[in-house]
Amino acid sequence: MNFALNIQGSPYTSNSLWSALHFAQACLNEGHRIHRVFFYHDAVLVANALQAPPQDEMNLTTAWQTLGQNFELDLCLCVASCLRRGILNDSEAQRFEKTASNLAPGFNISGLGQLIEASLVSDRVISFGA
Amino acid sequence: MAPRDREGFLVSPADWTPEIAEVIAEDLGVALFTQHWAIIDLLRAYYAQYGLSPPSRVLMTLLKREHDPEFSSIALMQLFGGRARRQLAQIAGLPKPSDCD
Amino acid sequence: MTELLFILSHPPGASVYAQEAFDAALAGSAFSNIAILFVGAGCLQLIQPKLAVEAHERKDFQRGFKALADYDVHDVYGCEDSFKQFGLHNQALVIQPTLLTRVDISARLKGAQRVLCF
Repeated sequence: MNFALNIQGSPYTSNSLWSALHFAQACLNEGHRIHRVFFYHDAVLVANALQAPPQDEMNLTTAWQTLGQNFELDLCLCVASCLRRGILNDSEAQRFEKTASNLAPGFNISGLGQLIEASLVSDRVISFGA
Repeated sequence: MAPRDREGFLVSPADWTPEIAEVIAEDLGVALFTQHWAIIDLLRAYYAQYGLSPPSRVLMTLLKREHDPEFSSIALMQLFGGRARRQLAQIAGLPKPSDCD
Repeated sequence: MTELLFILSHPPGASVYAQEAFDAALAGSAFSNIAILFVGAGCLQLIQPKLAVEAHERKDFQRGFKALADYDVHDVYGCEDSFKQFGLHNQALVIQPTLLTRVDISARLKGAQRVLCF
């Protein structure tokens, strides 16, 4: 089966990204496909390259990057959610005249259309709420 | 002149006046005539009422309903240039869109 | 046929989630035939805000509900049980959704091609 993930909760504050990570791993291990992982609301904060969680706790950013790399996943962030919360790639930093960018490698910023497209072409959308 | 960002959007949309619209339009190479103003006023009224900056397809619905039943997206481009909706929103002083449409 | 059913369950004032969820539904309307279902505390979004919202302090995004028809969104539903629970039947609402019983909701969930929860 082909899944689309719609993840919404804040990293470390909520369990949303953690649950979604394990769901994604389980799916892929069982031979299912994940068309796209869409990060919405506070979930976009997982792509903040400046986070430094305690070393004896799971690093969600690294965990998602690794999974993304291993399975060539499309890890897509909502641009509007990002701009509100200060997750910027170089071009958005330029557009909004900010002095720095902080998007972690392996994630890309795009629009809500990506969530809709993923929803329509996959067999199931799984939402991990805020 | 009210400050504008590097893309030409007002830093504070509350600064908008018709005179500022003329300046923004001129920078975009658009001269504003009666028909332009009718569309600008329509868009500003819609934003004031609903808090939404309508995407192109909704804008066309509105223009056909409230401006001219024969209105087309070609006509909008002829009035406001190739990136018509974006330029119209910019001239009308709507908030800078988060996307790049 | 509903392709995408958006379920909105966040209350309006507590966070930005309700506002962003509405943005997601509007984005959906550009691509397919969508329906919106307000459930639980999400039904509170439908209450007409009583206080004038100062510009820029907090966006009164709910007035956008009145524009849904312009976005070709005509199927707007509310959970009848939630309406009872929150006493919404006699409140001034921004828009009046079609109220659905639990059985109706279950049928809508089955009938939708995809369900997106917010």
